[in-house]
Amino acid sequence: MKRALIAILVAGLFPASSLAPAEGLKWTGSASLGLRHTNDRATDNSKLFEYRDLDSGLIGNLDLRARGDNYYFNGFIENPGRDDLYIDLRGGSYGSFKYQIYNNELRHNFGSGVGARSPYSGIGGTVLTATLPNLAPGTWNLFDHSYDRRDTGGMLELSFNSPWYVRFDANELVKKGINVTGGAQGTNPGGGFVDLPSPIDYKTRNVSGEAGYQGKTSHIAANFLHSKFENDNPLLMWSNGNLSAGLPLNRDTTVLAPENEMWRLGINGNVRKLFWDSTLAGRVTYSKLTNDVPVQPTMLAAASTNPATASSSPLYHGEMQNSTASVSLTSHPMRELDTRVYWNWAKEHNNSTRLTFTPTAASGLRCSGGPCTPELFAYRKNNLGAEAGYRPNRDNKFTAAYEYYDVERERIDFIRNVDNKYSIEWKNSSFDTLTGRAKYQYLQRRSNYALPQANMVANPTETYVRRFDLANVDQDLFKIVLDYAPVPFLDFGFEAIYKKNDFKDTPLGRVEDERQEYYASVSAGNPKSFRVMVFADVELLQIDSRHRVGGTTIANSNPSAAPTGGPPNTIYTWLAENNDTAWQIGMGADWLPTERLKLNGSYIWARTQGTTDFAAQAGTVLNPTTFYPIRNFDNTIRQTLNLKGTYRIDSHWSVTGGYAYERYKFSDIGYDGLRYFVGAGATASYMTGQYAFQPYKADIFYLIGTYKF
Amino acid sequence: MPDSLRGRSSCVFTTIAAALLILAGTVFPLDAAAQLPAGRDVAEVCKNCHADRVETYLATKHGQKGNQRGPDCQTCHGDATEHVKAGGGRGVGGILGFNNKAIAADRKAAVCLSCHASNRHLAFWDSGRHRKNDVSCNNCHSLHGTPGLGSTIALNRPNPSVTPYQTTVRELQYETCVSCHKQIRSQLLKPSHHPIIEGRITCNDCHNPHGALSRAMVKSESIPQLCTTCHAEKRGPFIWGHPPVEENCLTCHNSHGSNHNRLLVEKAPNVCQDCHDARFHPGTVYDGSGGWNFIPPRNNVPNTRLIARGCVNCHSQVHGSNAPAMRGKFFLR
Repeated sequence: MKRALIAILVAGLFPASSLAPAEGLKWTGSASLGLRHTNDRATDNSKLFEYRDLDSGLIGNLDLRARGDNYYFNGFIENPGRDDLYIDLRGGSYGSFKYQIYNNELRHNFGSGVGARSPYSGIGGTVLTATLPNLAPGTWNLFDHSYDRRDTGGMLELSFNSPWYVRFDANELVKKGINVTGGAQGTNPGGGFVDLPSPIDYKTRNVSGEAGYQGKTSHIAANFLHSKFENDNPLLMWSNGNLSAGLPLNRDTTVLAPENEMWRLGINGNVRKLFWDSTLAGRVTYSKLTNDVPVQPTMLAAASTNPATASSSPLYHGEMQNSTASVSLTSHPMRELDTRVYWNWAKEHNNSTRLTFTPTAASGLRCSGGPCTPELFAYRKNNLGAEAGYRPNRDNKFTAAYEYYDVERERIDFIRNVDNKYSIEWKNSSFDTLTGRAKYQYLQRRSNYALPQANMVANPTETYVRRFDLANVDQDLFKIVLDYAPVPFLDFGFEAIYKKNDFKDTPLGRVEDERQEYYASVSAGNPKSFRVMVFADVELLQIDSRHRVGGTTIANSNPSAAPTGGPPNTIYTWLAENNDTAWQIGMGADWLPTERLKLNGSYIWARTQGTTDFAAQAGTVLNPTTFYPIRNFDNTIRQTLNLKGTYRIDSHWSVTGGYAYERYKFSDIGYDGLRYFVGAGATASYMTGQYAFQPYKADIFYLIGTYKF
Repeated sequence: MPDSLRGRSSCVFTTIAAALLILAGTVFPLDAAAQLPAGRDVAEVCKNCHADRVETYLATKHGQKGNQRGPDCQTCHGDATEHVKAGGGRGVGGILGFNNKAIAADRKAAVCLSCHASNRHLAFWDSGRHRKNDVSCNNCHSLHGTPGLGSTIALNRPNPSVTPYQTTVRELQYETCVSCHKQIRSQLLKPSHHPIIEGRITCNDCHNPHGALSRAMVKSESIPQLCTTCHAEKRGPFIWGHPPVEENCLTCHNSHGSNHNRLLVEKAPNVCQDCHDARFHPGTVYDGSGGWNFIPPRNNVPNTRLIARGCVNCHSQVHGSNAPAMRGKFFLR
């Protein structure tokens, strides 16, 4: 058993057991032990095991509860010795103190076996060497593409039956394993790319504290947080097959996740029972995130050539300061009327080192032919809103809301946007058996776009691009929710959402998206004997975008300009219609045929499909003459059957048995027929097989005995 | 409504209880002048008709003798004197039944808030969406229920579990939440999702269902601050930042679940091209001829910007880069 597990158990059980004799704690609980057998048919079973340790073998859990006149304790341990170990120990004294110690683990699987192979040696370390080209994947190294995540922490809160309290939280989040990152090989596009198995050795330690007063009509608390992120591997060195083909020791460098440290201070509180039965609540926070990263003085840019990056400083000091303030006033000016007005303010100040890189023209490291100057992104946000709900009678409620959002940014293109959002909602329960809610929301966003002329000269197409997250938009949203319960133990639910974004003044980029969602469910039966639930969900998303390829001047980059170049044309406008759909049908039932027997079952059928259709501007000469649509962007079908039965032998013993079946199909244009490499020679690209072999079938059987005490 | 079945179940119980009460009233008539016992002793009277409810109450933290702040039956359900005198019945004598849909959510919540309003978790209840949308405490909490395995509080689970096999036997919080939030239920079952149905994280790891000042009742002041609580490796600061990452992770990711790997809202390269169109390859058409079964002459080999992870094959550091010069600017290293 792991040392961490023992330490947590001792730490958690000690307070409870020491109190037991004095307080006469009454202990109850259960212990379960059983076997699971998993039979999977998969080329790479990592999708099946994505967050679950389904390995065949022993399974079990322990549940402990203690209740006394003054003290209580809850303990739960599950899956000891497995990748998804879970421990939660809590206890305390009513109104006086409480504590928690926990450990929560999982393994996130991305690939294994044939789904994780690489031409590199040294996988797991920070130096990946290979003699490239290597077009014989059968000779490559296999590795386990996954990382373990362990979150261990605890909490102690003291109040001693007074309105004052103090609380401390601490946790350590560890991630350890391998994840694949990528790297373009050349200094210009076309040099191929490589999947790089990158070491994950992260540790995030958080410590926080809060002290406050919680009274009948007011609450105030001051809190702090210190969070430190550590990465044992700041750099990944790797053989670059394009810049140093055949030279395995001539290494390129990828800069991995930077270590950082964050401090956060906050004060929040509220005052209740004010005029109009109002509550005034507020929060102020300040945080500072810092790091210090040595700037790489050289970068590989050709075989055995590591030109200077010519940074204005050898050290980058990152410093982001975030300040926020929020105030909310909720009131009941009349019995039938409830209102809320609020204000949120946020500011991000970027006090990081302002670097400039001036590599030589021959280095291949310049940005658009000149020096590279990162922008120091920062913003200031103001958000005001008001909403009012009016209930003319018990059966109807009308709500109206308005929200104003103003954001100013230190950014090269969108320097400001203003959003105005309006919504109205009607809730009705006039009929005993039917309740309904209808909502309409309109959002208008207008932005200031101020890209410098210099950028337009270097990349004329940028003149016409409007990024959808900040572009001018008119948004309409409708939502209907119905609930119908004609007779006892029968309930129908239906929800429909329609949302459309019309991106105004967007010559190039996402021009429109439309989302439809429908959710229907029926539930019936008495939970004490038999109940069943069936649902059906449909989601339809369409995204339309417009693009221009090959523009060399502002004039010929204009999406309205006639196609040119070639023939076939090299400068033209094209359109994409991207559709993502999802269908799900699920059903579940609980059945208690006898006093001793309980049966549960569920079945889910879920399907996703992604397609893209393309069209060229009228008059465009293409070779071949049309574009080929994409019919499989993450097409999946997942079926799961989950059956379980529990038989209670006597007041202490019970036995649980179950069977589960899962089937997963996956088809995607980017992975179907994957062959691990593309091209040949110095521009060959190399892939690990991640995501390529996801389909699986699995049968899972288990039998568990439980002793209850 | 999540409590609709419960409401009906309760209706049956109430009817039975009323019948028993009438019977009890015959056998043990309450003297009109007599007062109900004070404090928790009143449970002795209540259990004459509501034995199962009293029993479950006594098993909760509320019902522990040493819990000085624990409520008795009348603390929550109101003065029962008239109710008992009248021989019981749903709502009779002004008794407050929490499954009674005719009673406003605010009134029900007020009962709990009379003790818990000062709780730090409820500091922003009044400002939260749940209160605004007429959700009361009993919609989620089952005060007479027994907490399931691995739980310390009893939550309502109005529907049977509909989930793939999980390696946990704990009762998971999300099943309570998705009984109303159907959109989230659907997203959690998608191929790419946070491990919520697997029980590795819970809804309230990110949200405070008891109210918050932040949008969607998230626990942090902003979305990036929330996400980087766990994903601290994406916190930076970076020499080359990616503004959408700084401002809102949800521009590219759906935190609950998605059709696409890595919780992406749209498949790459489309999700990237929606913002990045340029003279060079970002403006190129990556159509169906560029897959592993490529179609010449548009693609004479699989297109390395379409296959596998699309743009991220090369631009791997999309959350920000500390590499120098153009290698960092284009998120290549």
